Amino acid sequence: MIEQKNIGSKLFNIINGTVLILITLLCLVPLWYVLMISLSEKSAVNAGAVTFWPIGFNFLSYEKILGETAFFASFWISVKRVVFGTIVGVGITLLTAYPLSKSSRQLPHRNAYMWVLVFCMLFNGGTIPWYITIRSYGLIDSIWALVLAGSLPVFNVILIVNFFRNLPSAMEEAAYVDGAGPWRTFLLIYIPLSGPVIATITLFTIVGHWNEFFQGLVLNTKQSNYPLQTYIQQLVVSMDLSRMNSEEIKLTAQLNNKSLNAAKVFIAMIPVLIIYPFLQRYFITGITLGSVKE
Amino acid sequence: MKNVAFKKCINAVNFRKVTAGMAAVSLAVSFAACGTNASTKEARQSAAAATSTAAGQSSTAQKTDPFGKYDAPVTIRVVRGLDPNVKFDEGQSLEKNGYIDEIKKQFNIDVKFDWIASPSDFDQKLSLAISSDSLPDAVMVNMTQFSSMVKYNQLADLTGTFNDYGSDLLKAFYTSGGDALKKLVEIDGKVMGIPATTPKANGFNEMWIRQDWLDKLGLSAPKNLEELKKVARAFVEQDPDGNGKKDTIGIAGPSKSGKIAIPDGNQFGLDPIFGAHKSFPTYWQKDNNGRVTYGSIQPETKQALQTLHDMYRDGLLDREMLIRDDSLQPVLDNKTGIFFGPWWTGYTLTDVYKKNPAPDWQAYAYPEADDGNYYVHMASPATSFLVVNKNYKHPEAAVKIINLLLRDEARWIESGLSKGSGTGGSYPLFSVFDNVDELEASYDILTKFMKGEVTIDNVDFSTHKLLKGDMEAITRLKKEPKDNYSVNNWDLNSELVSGNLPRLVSIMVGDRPLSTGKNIKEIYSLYYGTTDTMTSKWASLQKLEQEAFAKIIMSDSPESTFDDFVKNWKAQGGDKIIDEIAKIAR
Amino acid sequence: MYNKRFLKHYWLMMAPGYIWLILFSIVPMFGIIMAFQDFNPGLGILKSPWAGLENFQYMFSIGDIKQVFLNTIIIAVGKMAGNLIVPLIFAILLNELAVKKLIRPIQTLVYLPYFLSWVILANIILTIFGYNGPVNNLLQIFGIDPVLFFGKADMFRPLVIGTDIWKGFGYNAVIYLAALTGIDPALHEAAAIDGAGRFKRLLHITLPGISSTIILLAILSLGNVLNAGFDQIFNLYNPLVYSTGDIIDTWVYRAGLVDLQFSLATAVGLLKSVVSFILITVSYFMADRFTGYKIF
Repeated sequence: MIEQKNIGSKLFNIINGTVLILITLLCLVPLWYVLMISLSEKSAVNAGAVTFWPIGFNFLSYEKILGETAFFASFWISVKRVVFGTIVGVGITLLTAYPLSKSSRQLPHRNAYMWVLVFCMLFNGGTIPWYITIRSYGLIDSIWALVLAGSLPVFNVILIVNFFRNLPSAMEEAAYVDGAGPWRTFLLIYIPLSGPVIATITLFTIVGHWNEFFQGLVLNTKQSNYPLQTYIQQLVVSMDLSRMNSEEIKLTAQLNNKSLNAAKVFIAMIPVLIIYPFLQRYFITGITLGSVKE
Repeated sequence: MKNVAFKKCINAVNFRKVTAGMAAVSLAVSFAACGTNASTKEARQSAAAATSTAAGQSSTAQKTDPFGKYDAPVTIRVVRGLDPNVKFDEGQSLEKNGYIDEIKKQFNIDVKFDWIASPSDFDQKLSLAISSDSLPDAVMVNMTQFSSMVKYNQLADLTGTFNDYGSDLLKAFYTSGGDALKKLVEIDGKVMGIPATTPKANGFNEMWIRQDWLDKLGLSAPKNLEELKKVARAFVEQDPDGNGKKDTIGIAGPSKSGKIAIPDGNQFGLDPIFGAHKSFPTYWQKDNNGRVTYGSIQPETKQALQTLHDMYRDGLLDREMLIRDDSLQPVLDNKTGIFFGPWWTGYTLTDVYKKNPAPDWQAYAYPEADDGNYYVHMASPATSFLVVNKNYKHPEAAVKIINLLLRDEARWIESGLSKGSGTGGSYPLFSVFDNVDELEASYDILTKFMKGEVTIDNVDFSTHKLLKGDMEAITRLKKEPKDNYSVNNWDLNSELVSGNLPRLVSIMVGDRPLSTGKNIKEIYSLYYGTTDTMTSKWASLQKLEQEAFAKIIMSDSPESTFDDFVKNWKAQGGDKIIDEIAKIAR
Repeated sequence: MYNKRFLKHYWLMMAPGYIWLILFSIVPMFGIIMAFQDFNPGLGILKSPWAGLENFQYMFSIGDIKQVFLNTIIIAVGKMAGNLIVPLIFAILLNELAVKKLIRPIQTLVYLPYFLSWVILANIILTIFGYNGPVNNLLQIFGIDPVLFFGKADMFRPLVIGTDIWKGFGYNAVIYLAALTGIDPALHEAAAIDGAGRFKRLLHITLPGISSTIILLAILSLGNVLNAGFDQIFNLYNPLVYSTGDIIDTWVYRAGLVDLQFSLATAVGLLKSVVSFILITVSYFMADRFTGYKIF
């Protein structure tokens, strides 16, 4: 890229860099805070005394987690869910989007299909009928309920449809002339050209499955089947003491360990920190489409 | 992101019972309590006797034996809250532990779990079960859930079951709740749920104060509002924590999820300040002419709010009340001098005893009203109810499981049956069924024990499941002088500090005002349930009230805010609800 | 390009998606009926009594319903606009960053707040904006008296909108970053040779290059016009800010504390869906008419 070497441009670079770094620091605050709590002593955390530096620095929470089989069991469920969920979800999304990116001439009633999709995105019957439906499929307590329940995010389909439509039609025509059928055109031309957008929806799907906790709660009857975020959610939701009886208060007062919970929250973020850089290379400008743009 | 709105609906179900109340005649505490205690004790004995005879002939057990064993196995499907941090004994789980085995052995009942969720998720899961009509056979529910399930006709009529199979002790608890309890669970004369009676002390809010700060500043515990203001001012201005900064809080207030005043135990609420004005917000009470009215709209409440407004303006109340994430934090951080809360507040102070020097929290039935009495609003007699699915063939099985808990819980604690999780952590259909005077009795016996008037051997523990442990712990924890419960007179180096001390402080300090108070006036609400109009209007009226109260106390809203609130409250359905309450109270 | 033989292949490709749609989305829609019933789970959806529009009437009979709707719309629209524009600006600035090595770390770090739940973030935010928190300490340096930020009704909406944008902009920027990769670098180079400055290139190359993405996101975000964000507000609000912060969802939540209101919740959900659908449809046709661009 060619840069103009004038003063205004340099000034812009400096200000831009400073602003972005400040913004980044601002985003690190909560993460830092959670980390400091996880490294602090329990009583200081309960007193709300921990802010930017740990008080009574220790690794006890992390040592404790090592002994918590429930945490790792949930972690593993989440990993399975993300792997299966992403393969199934991205697969269905791409397959559905490809025909819909064709014109109404190529795919009759294409607009009707599309509006059905949009309608389903906006309307739903609510949790209760949804739960009854999934239960009637016999999917309760099954990892497949978690994998399948959110498999077709319509938003992602619309995103892909738009991207496919904007690819130059010359490519498809050339393939057609070469005798390629729809499957070959889809797999060998459209998919390879869609790196950034596929990376985007893959990221959305991974993050969606990793972060989701409500379905995990509703669709499982046992805590041992919870995915990680459902497991964590039940720990960090603050209990209102005034609504408990004395027995429950006693239990809560004894068992509640905010610094241990913070350590769990922190560890739960590590996978998303690891995965993102792998997908990131697709989001850096100027490496993909230059060659095919008309 | 689908289902968002519905999640809220599911979320919506919460343990909080509906605020509705009643103020009846007030009575000094100790007398009424003694009667109940005697009767429950007798009941326990006769219940125990009944079992011993039944044990020998279980195969031919009478049809209506509360402890009878089934010939053929009976299955009961239940649900339960399970704190994810509970540690079970080796090889045990919620579905497989000593209690489950005991129930099988005693009754030939197989306990199965429909689902298990953490206490914080329990209501949401139960709401889903109610709405999808996939109820377990039996479950413990709160007031909102109970009245909804009654409305939806999902519950079995337990009148006959309760009469035939309820153990004498269970029945004694029921009777001890009197008319107020009957009004809650008897719908058209039918018992639709069996209430878990709670100790009276749970709803008794009192003043907790830092004795060490008082001593340091040369003050004594404030007895009335004027003295309270003086002490709070000293706590704010005279640097009681000695760090050279003006960073202490006089009186704590509720957090963002807390309430200014509710008809129950309310840690960090301001209920006693209302009480000192003879004001009882959210209570249904009778005015001077004997007409039913609502506590929050009384002139006394207006005065109390004016007092609170002045106190807040002068910086005596926590500046960040109602905004704070957690009002307990500054207490544990040694920044707070006074807060209000019931006896069990002692449990929440666990962390302070590790500090050196440890703060000395003491509790008093202060501030008194100008007539020298401590007016305290009392809670609903029950907040938890056993209900049975109307399609379940053996409703008596659920009652038997409760009978067994009541009879044998003390014994299990002693024998160490499923010690890791305890009954509170893992007994199916668990709820605290307690003597109304459980804590006063414990206070009394422990006090005598410390004075050497009783020994561990001549106390009957059958009605007090935790008392024996308390006596053993207090022997090891208490230093001389035995009758002074200052923090310095406990052995703070003992290993029992985190496990047993909070409970002992809760009883010996927290229940002392209720046990020994001479001039306590207990005020009851006329009704603690939900009326028809309340189901549709109460949320609006509560919003009106909470917003008005918060604004009057914390911002410079004119006094007219209160009058507007009263006018709107009456117009928006309040008057109609008052009529309904009057009918129920008659 | 039209080949009849292709059609059955297209159908085959779409089959999994539409079968999924029927099983997991269309079948459960029978629940919408509940909005017009006085739903009684004991009787089930088939036998519950009809209530007509009663649930909707009830919704509009709430004393301060106008305020509640207004709060919802103001907060939701503020978030929609902010979540559309701020990530866009961020993506463009990041794209222009001179030190290319920093792009990836910054991108990774700013998207982290998205992964913390509001329960945890609320605690942090209330501490930061607390009476003795860092923000007030900073103000005191400039001689400004401490402010009770979350106790002031007029500050609640900006705080809610601001913290929501802060939480999500890193994540929301991903889509723009992906779109920016679609712009041919050759265009920038050619423009630079022609002497076009940074701002001119932004205006004439970058923005037009991703305009379809912006339109798409803008239209789809209209679906949230009545979603002001329950979790966030529930964890941050208090009675002092009811007048500006109480939204439909928090209101329904509190109504549910008194009585399990299944039908009311369904009615609210349906109302939101209808409003979203109308807005999206209208904007779809308007975008088509004025820009000639069909978003789907």
